[in-house]
Amino acid sequence: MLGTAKGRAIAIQVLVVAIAAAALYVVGTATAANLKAKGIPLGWDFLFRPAGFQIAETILPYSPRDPNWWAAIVGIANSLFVSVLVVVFASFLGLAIGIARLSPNPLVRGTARCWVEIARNTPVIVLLIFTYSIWWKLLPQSTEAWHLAPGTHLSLRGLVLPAIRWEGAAWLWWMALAWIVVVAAASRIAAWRQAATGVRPPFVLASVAGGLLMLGAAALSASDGIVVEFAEYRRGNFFGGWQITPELTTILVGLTFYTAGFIGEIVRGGILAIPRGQWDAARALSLRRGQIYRLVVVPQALRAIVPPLNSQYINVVKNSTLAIAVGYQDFMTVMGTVINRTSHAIEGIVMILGVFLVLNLALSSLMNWYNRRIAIVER
Amino acid sequence: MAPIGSTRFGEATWRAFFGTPLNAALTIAFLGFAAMIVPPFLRWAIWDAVVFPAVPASCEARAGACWSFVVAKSGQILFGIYPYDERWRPAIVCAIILTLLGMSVRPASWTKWLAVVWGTSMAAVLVLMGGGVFGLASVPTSAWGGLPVTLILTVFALGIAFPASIFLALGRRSDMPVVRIGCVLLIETVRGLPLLSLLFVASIMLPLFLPDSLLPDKFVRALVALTIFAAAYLAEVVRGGLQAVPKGQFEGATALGLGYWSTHFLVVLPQAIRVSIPALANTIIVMVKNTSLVLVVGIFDLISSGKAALADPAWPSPSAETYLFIGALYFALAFAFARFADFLERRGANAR
Amino acid sequence: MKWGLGLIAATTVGMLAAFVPMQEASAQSILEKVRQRGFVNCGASQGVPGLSRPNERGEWLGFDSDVCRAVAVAVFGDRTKARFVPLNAAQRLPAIQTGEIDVLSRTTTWTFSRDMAVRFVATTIYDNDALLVRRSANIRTANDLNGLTVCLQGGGSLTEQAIDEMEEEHTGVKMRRVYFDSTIQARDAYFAGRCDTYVTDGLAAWGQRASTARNPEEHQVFYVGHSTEPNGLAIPRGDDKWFDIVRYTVNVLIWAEDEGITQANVDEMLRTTKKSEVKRVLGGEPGWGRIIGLDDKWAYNIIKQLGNYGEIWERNLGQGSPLKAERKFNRLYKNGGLMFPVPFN
Repeated sequence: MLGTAKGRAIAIQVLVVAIAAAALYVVGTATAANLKAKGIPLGWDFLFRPAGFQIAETILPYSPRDPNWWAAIVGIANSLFVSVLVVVFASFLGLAIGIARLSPNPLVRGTARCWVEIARNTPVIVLLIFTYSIWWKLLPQSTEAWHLAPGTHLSLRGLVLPAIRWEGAAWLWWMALAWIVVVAAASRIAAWRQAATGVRPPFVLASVAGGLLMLGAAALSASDGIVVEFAEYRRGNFFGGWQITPELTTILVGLTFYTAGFIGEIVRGGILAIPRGQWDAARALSLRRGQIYRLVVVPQALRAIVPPLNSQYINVVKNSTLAIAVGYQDFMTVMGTVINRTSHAIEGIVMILGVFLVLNLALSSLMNWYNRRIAIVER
Repeated sequence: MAPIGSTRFGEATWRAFFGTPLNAALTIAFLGFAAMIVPPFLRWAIWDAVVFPAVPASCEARAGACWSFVVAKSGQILFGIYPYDERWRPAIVCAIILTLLGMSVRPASWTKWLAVVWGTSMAAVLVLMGGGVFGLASVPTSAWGGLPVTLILTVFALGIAFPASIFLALGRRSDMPVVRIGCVLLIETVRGLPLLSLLFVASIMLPLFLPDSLLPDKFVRALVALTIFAAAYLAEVVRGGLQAVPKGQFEGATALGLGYWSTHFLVVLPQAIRVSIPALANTIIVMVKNTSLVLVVGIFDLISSGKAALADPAWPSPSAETYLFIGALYFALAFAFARFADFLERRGANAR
Repeated sequence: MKWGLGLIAATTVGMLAAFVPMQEASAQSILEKVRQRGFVNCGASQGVPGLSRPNERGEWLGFDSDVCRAVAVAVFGDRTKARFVPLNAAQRLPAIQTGEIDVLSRTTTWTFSRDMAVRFVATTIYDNDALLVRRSANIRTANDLNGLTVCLQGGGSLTEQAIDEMEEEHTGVKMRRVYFDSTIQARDAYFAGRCDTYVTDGLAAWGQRASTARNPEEHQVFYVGHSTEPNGLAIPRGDDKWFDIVRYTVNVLIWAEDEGITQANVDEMLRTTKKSEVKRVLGGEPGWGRIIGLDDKWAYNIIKQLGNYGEIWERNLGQGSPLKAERKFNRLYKNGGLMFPVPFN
């Protein structure tokens, strides 16, 4: 049987399965023995017990009396919050850097080059802890905070802004929602008209402008609904208002700096991949530099940019776990605390692995879908 | 897009900086920004800084950077908690690895001999670091630290991961469904996880998964995690290279009567790897940087050594200076490699 | 193809072979393993002034380091036969369980649940959790802490729980927390001004006040833990022989202080003593060491090379150190402390 190629293939696969099974057996028996010897119980009921620990900053409401599963979700929300912000900031910044790298101005080009080299050649964790240690040098003590504007204070305790909230009638929210629907519809109709007649009617502009006016007027007419809350200063601390801590700022600044450098290189590669003829043709049509980028270069470059961008975005999600180094509590840190307090290490780590796999799979299918959308449709 | 046809240097320079209103605005904005950032930084880092004498008192007197600390603690940051009298050993290890890396830069030196040199040197490195033979005092891995740890982890992780990645890449393209699915699962799972979580598994979970007799020490566990991580990423790079090899090469080799392994090792892989050298170099840089994460599992790499140095009660705690120094070390390593990768890329482009 | 198959077969055999020795668990005492190895593996911190931290030369300084050295002296008669393995808070107990270290000497609070996982041997230091806080914050009672920002080591540490408990006890007190991966980062953040206060072990707080602060007088140590915690040495479970050695090593240190035996006078004491207990313990009677499985001079060597409990304390934490911490509960029973030797009878 081993004489034929097919026979060999089957034999090898059986062997592979056997090895995997043997390895699983060794690990399984050893784990069971270890768990028994060390008296470690398995089970998921710890998830429903009160977490009992604090989380410094959260996006979702949280108190130590909430169960562990909710603490985990709060942690995931914190991680996603950081990841989303970094992805947005780094994408725009990366686009700017990519274009700046090709600028005719040596000063702009050189600065962009420096940025990219530092980002690409320094470990992100070093960038993060260095960024964090810089605040000590730059910012004043909270007793001598810089008062940048009314209710706006910057110090080692972070950036404190006045909180602006809408506490008026709910109909304004519904109006805003309706406006978004109108704008979306207008853009659809405009595209359809353009395809049919070759002329793009200014529907979108009209609906944006009209909607803004209406919303503004409505908000003014009910202006007592707008609540501006200034932070209060007591004994070196600020209470109320919107507070952005140095820890959150560090992870945002550090990861954005790092990721923007990589995205900048991807963007540069994408732009360079566009044939010269496209530039020449665009110039022959007497488009301005900005127009060339916006109408000709970027849409085409996107096709080369999106696949590597996908892996950069996934990297952001993965790198957000380094928040542990600068005192921002992300999913990983929260789970570390849960594991420490409950001793359910195996379950905790399984949760960590599962959540990251699901997040990254979801992100990469989203990007693949987008990639298919912008790919050249061969007609 | 640079101005072409200008013969007068001054004019070209002027045009580059102030050619258009936008350009002029950018130049002024960047110069203004530089004027805000650079002088205070220089004042802190150079003029107000203190280097010698490397004693705590000199830092308390000056407002600028406390480089004295970095000078006084450089041994501790570079070599961690390695026994003081034996520090010549990690120093030689660093020298060996850096020299070998330098020697391996020229593609002309990529022969079988280089592999032999690397193999024997790595054995020598382990002997030097660990000791216990030839009259060298034995030093357990828990006392290894600093730069040699970074270099050893990088070189060993990549050295083991690269051959493994070739098998993974071949497995992923295999006709055998079990092998293919196994490889895909392994590669995609590892690539979907943060390295930090793999390191946690290796440091905290492995002691539960394995019987005590099979359990390697902390250092080896971290190395295993790094290796698996590197193998998954390298496998994708190699697979990219394999896909770039034209079908005709496979057909030609088969027509010559070569079997699966001969086809791949003699014909296909050499071409595939040549194509993927720039991507491989990039992955290597990523791995150099990734070794910095082992600090979270308690290995005394550069960052942990720096932190331990900062714990000295006799000194003020100049963390920014220390991290700047560590960052500069990493930068020097990675930047040198990046330039090398660029060189290979250009060389590859010229060859085609 | 053929060697591919061979490779796989070899791997399988190798794995199975590796599987076999696991069955025969070694009944060897840690003492024998340590003797074969030639040194004691001590679990250390990653750098706490006064307790355990590496200096520029990679030598470990501090009280905890010296106590573990005493174990090495007991076994080998040589204080240099101790190796230190730096561990973070999460790794310290697993490191004992997996046999990576022989003795954990790293300010670890003796608690019931931990004692079920490893084996605590003896209390070496009684300590409270404490806040290091600027005098300008004017803290007199716990109620004054309301609204302040506290830097601390996160991850479910005991110091974190001390803050939780303090808030529960004093209703209306709410502190804002900033969590860090290590106490060093929390310390740096406090001294930089990120926080109004920083919570750690009492002795560590004294240490930081004495050393890191530019002017120690600007900072005060404020105890928050409502209970005094025993910090002790821990070893793996199920090894009585090793347990004896570690326990009586600590006991010798306290006993020697009680008897007034110091590093300086130990030789004289051995020559001139009238007490048979002292003579025996210091190795004046042949055969005494065999009872515990060591040589006769083991206790003498400890005192000679490291000094007694009080000397080690003062040298690393007390008046002979930059910390200048108060001994408080760590004084001998006769001076109002909790340290009490077991008689060597």
